[in-house]
Amino acid sequence: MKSSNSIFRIIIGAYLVLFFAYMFLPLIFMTIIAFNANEIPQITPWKGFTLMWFGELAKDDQMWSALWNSFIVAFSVVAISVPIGLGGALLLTRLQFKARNFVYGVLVSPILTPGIILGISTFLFWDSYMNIPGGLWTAILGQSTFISSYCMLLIMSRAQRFDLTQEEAAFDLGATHRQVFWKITLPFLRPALISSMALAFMQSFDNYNTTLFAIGVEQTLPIYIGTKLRSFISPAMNALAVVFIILTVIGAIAYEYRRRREMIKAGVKITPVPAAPVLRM
Amino acid sequence: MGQDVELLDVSMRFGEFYAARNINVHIQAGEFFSFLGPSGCGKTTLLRLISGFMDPSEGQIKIGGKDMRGIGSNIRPTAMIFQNLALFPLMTVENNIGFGLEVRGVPKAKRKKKVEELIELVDLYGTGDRMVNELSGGQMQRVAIARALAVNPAVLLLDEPLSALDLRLRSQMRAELRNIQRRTGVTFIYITHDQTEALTMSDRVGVMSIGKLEQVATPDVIYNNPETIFVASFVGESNIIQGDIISIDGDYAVLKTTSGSFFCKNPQHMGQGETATIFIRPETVFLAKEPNADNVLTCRTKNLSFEGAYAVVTLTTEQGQLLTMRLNNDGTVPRIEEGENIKVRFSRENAFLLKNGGTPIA
Repeated sequence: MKSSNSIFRIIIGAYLVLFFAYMFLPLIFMTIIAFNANEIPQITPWKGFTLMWFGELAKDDQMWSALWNSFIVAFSVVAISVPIGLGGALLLTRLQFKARNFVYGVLVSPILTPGIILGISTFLFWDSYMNIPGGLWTAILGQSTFISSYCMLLIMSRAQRFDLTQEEAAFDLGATHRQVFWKITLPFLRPALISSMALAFMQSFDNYNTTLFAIGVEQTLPIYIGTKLRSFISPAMNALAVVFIILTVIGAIAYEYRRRREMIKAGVKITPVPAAPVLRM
Repeated sequence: MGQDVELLDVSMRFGEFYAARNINVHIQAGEFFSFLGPSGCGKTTLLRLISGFMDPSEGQIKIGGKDMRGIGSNIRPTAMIFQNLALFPLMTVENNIGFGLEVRGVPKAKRKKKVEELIELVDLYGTGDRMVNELSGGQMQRVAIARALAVNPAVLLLDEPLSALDLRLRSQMRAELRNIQRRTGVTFIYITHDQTEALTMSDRVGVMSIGKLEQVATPDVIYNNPETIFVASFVGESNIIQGDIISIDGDYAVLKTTSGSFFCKNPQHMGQGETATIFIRPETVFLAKEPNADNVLTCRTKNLSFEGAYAVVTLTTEQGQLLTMRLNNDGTVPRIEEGENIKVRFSRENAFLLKNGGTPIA
């Protein structure tokens, strides 16, 4: 019994090592390259530690304008997709109508449609038929088509748990329909709204294929990186990646810190967030 | 202060289905009125009609003499206590209670004062800044009552609010609700499927069968003089004997059954030859001292269950008619064995004849 147990442990250990190596080795390599003074992005030969790629990156005006565009697009997508998603979620969770399943199908279909097709069709429609040239606007509209569906699904999952008698109670106590929405419904949906905003922002920020075909001659950061990688390979791109890794890690730590502090405030024992639902046998 | 509520020929139709049909009742200002009926009888529908969540398909609802058609529930002088209470989980007790005042734009200082008064009225000291989900079931109940009373309703509508509580808490809240109703003078309209609740708390009770108001009366009249088979069988326990009317004598009639002929009250004034049902409460069946009096049955005891203050005896006649008798443990009752033959009787005052038909609930 004991030996089979230790064999099991060895297998699990080996699996974990391989799994984390698969996940993190590329990132580690990429990070090391960002600090190598070699002009070709390779680990070897090691030509000495340098921060010059970060300097080069900071001087790249194209990168800054692409980054700025990415922010404009992402914030606009949030502003468009979350209200649309909220509307769709409320419609589908409250109204019982015959065409409900059909409407649901239509509203989630952009998620199932390949991003390239969304991009091309958005561009063609606005650029060729509406005479609005492709640019940030078409990128925003193209991305919003499917991102609003994600927002809708996310908000729906919370809206389904809403007890409608709360709205009736509020209305019965003299609230207007508007007050019911702002004071009862919206506060309940708040966590879902916040996460759908975050989701919409991130989906938009790293979207490549829809944007590539919808944006015309403009560039967002992923488009810029894509173009750069195809034309000229420079360790400056590694430096950019390192910046994003650092920002992500800081963001994750800040989130976790806040979560723990709130849980301590609420008097809940801290448990790690399970990555996947725990199966109980 | 309370206002009166009038339902005039109110019907509510969902497609082909009538959830309520031609309901007529006038609930007095300051009355504690209960609608009593099995689940699905349409009592919740009536409450929702009065509160204004929907308008009746036909008929008229008046509150304080004013027609309420088209007036939304946020404007009606009613407040509702929901079956699941529907407290606002993201708000503290104070904010829950003060919600109705807040949305009406009552200034903060005034609101706070009113909320404090209500917290005192419903006995919730020291819980004002707690979240509602930190409270016990009984406390949540009190928050719901206070929240509804905060808007000074003329009519308070209660949708089985005690059904989630345990037995002890329920009887305690019953007394308290009655007490609050007396102190505030608000008209209470209470719906329940629990007859004890309806009978103990109410000034008057309206018994409902499927979509239909069967009888409106004080609790003692409902129990002692039910007007329909439905009321007789739904409220309290009854012995039921069926037969044909063979003669009429003023307010009384004689019913011929397989187990003999019996004198009974005939409140519906049925005629000779009609088939009818006798209802007799188990506590009005006694051991027969004079074997030749009216309404005597010879029975064999089938089962005897001793419950302390009384014993419940199940009997059967030779013809197979079942009877239940409730003997008070007052020291005069002789010892009865199972399987023994005994004679029992009931007074004609306590046996009433009702028309067959409707939906009896046995």
